[in-house]
Amino acid sequence: MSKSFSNGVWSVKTNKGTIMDASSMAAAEERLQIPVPEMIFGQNEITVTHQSGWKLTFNALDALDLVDKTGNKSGHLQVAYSEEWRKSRENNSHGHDVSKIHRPFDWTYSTDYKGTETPPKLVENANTKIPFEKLKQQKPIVLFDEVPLYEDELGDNGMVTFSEKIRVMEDDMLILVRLYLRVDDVVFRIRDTRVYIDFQTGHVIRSYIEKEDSFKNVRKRVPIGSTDHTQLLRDPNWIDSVLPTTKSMTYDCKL
Amino acid sequence: MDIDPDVQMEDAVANNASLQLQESQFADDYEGEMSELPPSSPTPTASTGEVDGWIETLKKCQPLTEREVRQLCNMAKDILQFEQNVQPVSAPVTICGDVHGQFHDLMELFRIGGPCPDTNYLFMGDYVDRGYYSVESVSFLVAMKVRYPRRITILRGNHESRQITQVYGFYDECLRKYGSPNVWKLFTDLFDYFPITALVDNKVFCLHGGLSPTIETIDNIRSLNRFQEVPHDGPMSDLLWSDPDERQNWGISPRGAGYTFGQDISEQFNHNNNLSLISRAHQLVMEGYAWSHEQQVVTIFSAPNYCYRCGNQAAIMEVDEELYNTFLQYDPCPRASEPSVSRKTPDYFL
Repeated sequence: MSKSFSNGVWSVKTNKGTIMDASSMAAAEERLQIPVPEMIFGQNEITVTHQSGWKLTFNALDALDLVDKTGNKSGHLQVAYSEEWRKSRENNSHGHDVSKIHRPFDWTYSTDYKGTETPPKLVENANTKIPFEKLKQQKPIVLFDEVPLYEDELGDNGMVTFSEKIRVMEDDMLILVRLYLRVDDVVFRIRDTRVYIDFQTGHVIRSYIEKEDSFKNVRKRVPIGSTDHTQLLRDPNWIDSVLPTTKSMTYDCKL
Repeated sequence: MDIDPDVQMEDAVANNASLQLQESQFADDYEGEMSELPPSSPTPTASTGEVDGWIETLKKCQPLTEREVRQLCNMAKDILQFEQNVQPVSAPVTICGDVHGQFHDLMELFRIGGPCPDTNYLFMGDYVDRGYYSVESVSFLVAMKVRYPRRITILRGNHESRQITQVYGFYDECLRKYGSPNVWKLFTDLFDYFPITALVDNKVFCLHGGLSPTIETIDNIRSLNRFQEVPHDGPMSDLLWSDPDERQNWGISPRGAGYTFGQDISEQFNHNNNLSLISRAHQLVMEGYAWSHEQQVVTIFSAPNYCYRCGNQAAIMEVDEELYNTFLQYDPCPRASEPSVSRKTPDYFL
């Protein structure tokens, strides 16, 4: 399934398909050199092209390529009961050598991918800002799509989703690419990349925000008397509203 | 599992009438089977006719009442408590993987595989969570188990647990549909009774997850106490959680808990136990089934278009009397009633 939009200067294309089949998964593992998430939407992407040839695209494999492949940078996060599990295993290993993790990597698939840009034009600019006030004016949407890129259930220890949304209006457009991570009883993490393009001025603004906090801290923010606190803890929008920002960057360019 | 002498399989196969008709035809025979159960529970046991009524209700994707669920779970306990940790099953049988509350696809599974009880079924767990109809799906399978105890085998998956269902949807669904957690409590108490593995004609070993380094022989499994919540560690946890891996030997997940097992482990286990195949579920695969370890292990996944967006096929595996395998793949059943995932109002996300 694909959708497209063009106004002569800018064109946008979205593509949505199924998760990868076994042979594509094998090829992806070969390329990425890490065990890949169980759901990779390999054909899915959003691409924005300017008539000058500049192109910004978001796809799963480029994003996964930026996942920490050794686990060293991401601090070897462990599931909540891993200590308990480890102890019981040490006492009861039946002589098997099970002491080593085969090939550590960031199993939460936390990428800091901000899109694949050719040729690179966006440069860091702390003084630019996406005009949210303008985006709050609900102008007619000429193209909307929601495109999942990858997901993993983390062996039923939480979830990670990496997906993108796009809305194109007559004068401008916005893309939101979100990594959402919940490791049960351990951590919440959100990484948002937004791309705003003003079709009138050719101004492209990209923002990147990291938010993170421990599960324990987030649980404390559930309003007292809330009847559905487990549901709040599973609502990415509510989580987004209570997580503190730990990193924020903006980039822009003029086309 | 012996073939019921009172069921004329040939006639049943030749009969193209609807599942409903076939059931009523055999109702008298099965009444005998059901009435052998000890009347141990305080809640009155339902008659065959009542159970048939529940099955008809559930086929329309309508949940049972809390009282009916209570009766159903008590009757199921009376059957499941006598099943073994390694439940023996006779071929022919159709082996199925994860269902995850995708009720309409479960109905499609029975259309593809043939109606129960004419076809014997073995389900390898994960009936609940993630899909919209966990209540109806698990109620249906348990009702079929109560109605045709020797025709259908239902194993425990890692989602048949109190802890996991509170995170992945079944608990919330019970609250939403019944206004209290009572039905969730009834089912999760019942899950403790589900057998954890099955053995088809002593050759095909079936379970939800995979092998455990603490289990070298099938007999090791027989001595486990399975009547408990799925623990976080130990052999029972491994059987419901572990995954095959392309790397040799035992591996530990980088998550810090859980095993993977290599081809050498599968080969040794199959050799030691004189098995031809390990059949398991637990992992999503685009084709609905996937071989690993040079066909020592097969993964079967029976929830098509998983989570209503993966676009994957589902599969079931028919095992005939000669233990030959045939895979039947299928797509999601066309449906009108499922909540639409695409939104109607414009999404002015920021």
